[in-house]
Amino acid sequence: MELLLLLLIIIPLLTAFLIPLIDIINKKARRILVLAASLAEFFTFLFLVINNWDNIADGTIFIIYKMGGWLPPLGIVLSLDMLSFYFSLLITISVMFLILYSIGYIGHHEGKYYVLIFLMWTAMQGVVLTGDIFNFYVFVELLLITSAALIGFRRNKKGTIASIKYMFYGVIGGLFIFIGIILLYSNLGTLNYAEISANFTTLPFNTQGIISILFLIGLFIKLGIFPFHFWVARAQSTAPSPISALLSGVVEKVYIYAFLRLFWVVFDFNYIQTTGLDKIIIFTAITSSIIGHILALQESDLKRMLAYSTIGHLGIIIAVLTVNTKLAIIAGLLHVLSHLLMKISLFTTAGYLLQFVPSHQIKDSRGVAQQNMFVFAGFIIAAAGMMGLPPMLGFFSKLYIVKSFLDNSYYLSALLTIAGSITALIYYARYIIYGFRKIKLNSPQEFRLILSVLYRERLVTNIALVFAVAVLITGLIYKNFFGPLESVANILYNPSIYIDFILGG
Amino acid sequence: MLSLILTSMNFSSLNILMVSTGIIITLVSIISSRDYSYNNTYLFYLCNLIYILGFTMIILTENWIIFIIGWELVTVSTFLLLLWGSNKIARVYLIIQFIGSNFLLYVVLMIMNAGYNTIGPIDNFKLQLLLIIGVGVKSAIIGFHFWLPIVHSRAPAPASAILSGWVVKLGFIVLLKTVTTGNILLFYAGIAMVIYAGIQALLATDYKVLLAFSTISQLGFIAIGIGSGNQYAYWGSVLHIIVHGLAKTSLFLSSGYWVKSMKSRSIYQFKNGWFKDKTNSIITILGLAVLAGFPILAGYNSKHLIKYAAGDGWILKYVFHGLSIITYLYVLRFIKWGIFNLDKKGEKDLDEDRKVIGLNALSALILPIILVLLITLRSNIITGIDYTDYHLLHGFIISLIYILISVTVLKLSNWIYIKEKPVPSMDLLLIRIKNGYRWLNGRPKIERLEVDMENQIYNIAINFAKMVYNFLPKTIQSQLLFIPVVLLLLLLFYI
Repeated sequence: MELLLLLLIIIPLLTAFLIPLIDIINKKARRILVLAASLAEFFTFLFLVINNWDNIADGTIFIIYKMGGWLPPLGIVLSLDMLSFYFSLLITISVMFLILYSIGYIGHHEGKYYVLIFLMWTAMQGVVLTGDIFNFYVFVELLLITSAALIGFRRNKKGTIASIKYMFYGVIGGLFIFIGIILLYSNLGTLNYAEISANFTTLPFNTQGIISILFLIGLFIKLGIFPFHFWVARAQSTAPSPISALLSGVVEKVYIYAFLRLFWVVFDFNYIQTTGLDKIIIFTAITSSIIGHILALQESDLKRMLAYSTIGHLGIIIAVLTVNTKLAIIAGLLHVLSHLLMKISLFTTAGYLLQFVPSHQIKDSRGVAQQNMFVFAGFIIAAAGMMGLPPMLGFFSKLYIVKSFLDNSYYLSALLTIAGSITALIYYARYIIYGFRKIKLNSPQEFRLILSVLYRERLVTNIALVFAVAVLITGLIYKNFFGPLESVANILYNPSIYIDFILGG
Repeated sequence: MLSLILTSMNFSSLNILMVSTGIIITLVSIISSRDYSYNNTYLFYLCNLIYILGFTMIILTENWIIFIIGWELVTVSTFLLLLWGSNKIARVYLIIQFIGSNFLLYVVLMIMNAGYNTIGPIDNFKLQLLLIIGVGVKSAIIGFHFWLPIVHSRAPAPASAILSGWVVKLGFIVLLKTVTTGNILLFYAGIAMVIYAGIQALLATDYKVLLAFSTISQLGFIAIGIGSGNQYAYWGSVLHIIVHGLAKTSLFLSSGYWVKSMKSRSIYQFKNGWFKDKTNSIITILGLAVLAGFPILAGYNSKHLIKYAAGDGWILKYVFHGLSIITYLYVLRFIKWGIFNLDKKGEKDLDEDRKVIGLNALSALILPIILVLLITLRSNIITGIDYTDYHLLHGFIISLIYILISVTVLKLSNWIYIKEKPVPSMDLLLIRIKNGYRWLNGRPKIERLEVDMENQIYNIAINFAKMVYNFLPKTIQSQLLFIPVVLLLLLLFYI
């Protein structure tokens, strides 16, 4: 039973190493392996859910796996509580669909791609499931290296520059986290989350502050919050579309998980509140959000525009989580889900639609709606969610975010959230209007149809539509998310539950 | 979510009345829209269905959040309905309404924050004011009305019937539930709306513009009724919402047929209207009479009740007479130019281009008027006031005096024949603002814009965004410099 946690990490890791070996034997067998492994990971998770359904339903799920049988303070533990479960669920399902999308989009001739994407999957599951801070660092760096390689996957100049820039920022961010870990280890002598959490308040006040600030800056660099956002647009726009979706939709959420786990459970959030650091975080994040939206407005490249909009939404999520009331945390987690669905939907639909235009420039996308009306409708649904129109989930998350800002007298933050969604209307409408613009068919020179290079077009369009439909359906049942998300918030509010389970159990 | 919507609904008689009026208006416009040979007919019906769902949620619900959802649904569906006409107008409408509904979201959450968890009376004057400003954009309260003549006059007739007949009323229906004890600023805003929009309607040369301004003017009466806090005036507002909704629907639908048969929108080009189309003429006159508040028709009842808002002050009493006369002025002016601008020679060769309105259109035009007549007979059910209390004889005499004064004024001013003005648009609005600014600086006026307003505002936004983009560092060295700076700042201030 506990072994399932290990399997969630091992299956993609083994697949990644098996792919080159299988390539030697038979290249066609790799197709089956990729499909089988992603389904196996999904079914492992499904098995986990079915076995623990009662615990998940009342929010008390807690599974711990001790690596090599060593007890927690000494050995590495993998643990799954409601917080990890929520993020692991998002990662498993979205990455599985994105791998299926890649099969249609990239095709089967690129073995390296699948090696890297499975390693990324390993790293993401590892970050979410681990209970050890050094293990966390290892997985974060694995995530960095694999995603950097995937950003430069096209092996052209643009991709290489983006990849190197991403590496620069990622390594510096990782360095801050690493220094923080060294400080923690030299002061407390332990690397276990629960052990650190139990003893963190015994540290001198200044040491607490330095560690918090180092981790904060490290995570902000990795998230791309305002003064450190320069890598985001380049990285997310030059990567192939499924990787852009993965980076913007899922990888950023993994860092949000790290933000929540470290600052609420492992470190004392009271420290941040008593020193007034939370005001600074909210200010930075909201500034980042509005700057992201403004930068998206001036962008003429579709994928760069989507990447800047990611900065806008991540800022809001970080700000609302830092408000630190129950409703605010629920709203933030709801927006994590809605932004994940919407961004993946936007990038997957855009990835399909960009096949039919000469460049990524918005003004080149005239008449793209005629290519596939359904996929374009999917783009519109996701964009409407981004603007916050009902009945999409984006509306409800925006609503509760604004509500929780206002409940805690952050009036300006609420206004800027609303201003961001109005800006979003303008820049998404621009693309949609160009998309609907008619092309004169009597002058074929004017309209240069680029033949699709997709391998399985139906697969690509169907998966793009799956996410768009999910944006719509989750909006209709948004109330059902409140129960589970409240139990996630409970975990964050009571770190003692986590400590007791790891150290006592 | 469905259960949430259903449990928060309040089926009071007022709510049911409002919803059924809204549904009737929508059905009438759907019937009429068949004459406009729309393509994508089923999508059109779907949009109408979403629209009905939206306003039903707004009217019936007691939950603020469901109210906001309904409000956004109405915004989106009316935007989609406008797409059957002109894309540009639809875009302008969407952007303005989206900003308005987002501001309303902010206001509603502020109200919820103050402890008003359900839609009900709000005692706090400041919150009332915020709500009035919040619904202002959709309901065209003065100061936020600038888009209404532009959109309503350019939209296709069925869409403008829906917009003018019902969508603008939704904000007032919310105000009916929340501002129960009156709000003095709403009261004066109402008076300003009646006067300003009435004069604009009087000077309009385009029939649909006239109707659009008359909508703002009549909304002013509703605002006066709600703002006074007087019980009779309050019921008068309820009645006026329904009556004006039905009458305006009929008028806007008939305006579509007028424009079709006259091949022009200018009221001076409406020649021989009475000979050409007697049915349409009678319906238009009836609709306008309802707006003016001629006795026997329901418009008289509602305006009679709203007059109670004046209270005892003699000044306000005269002001109210003035407000009524303004309505009579523009109504009579249109009847003179639009219907009875007869030409004896023209009567002979009418037979060829005489238009016969189809059964659809006829039912669409007549149904609201019949309903107004029915309401006239049974308005005591809505207001709880006996029919004999309306002082009909007094009303007749007063109305005749109004008409006499109006006709005299109009006769003296040659029935206000002015040079034809262009149909209002966002561009004209911007030219006016720019000329005002240039006048302050002593520079000559401009006649037209080099780039139209939508693009101009868009360019300003884009240029601002580009400025922000250019302000940020470009080289990786300076970009990376932020990291140590932020680290040092945080360490300095928080350790």
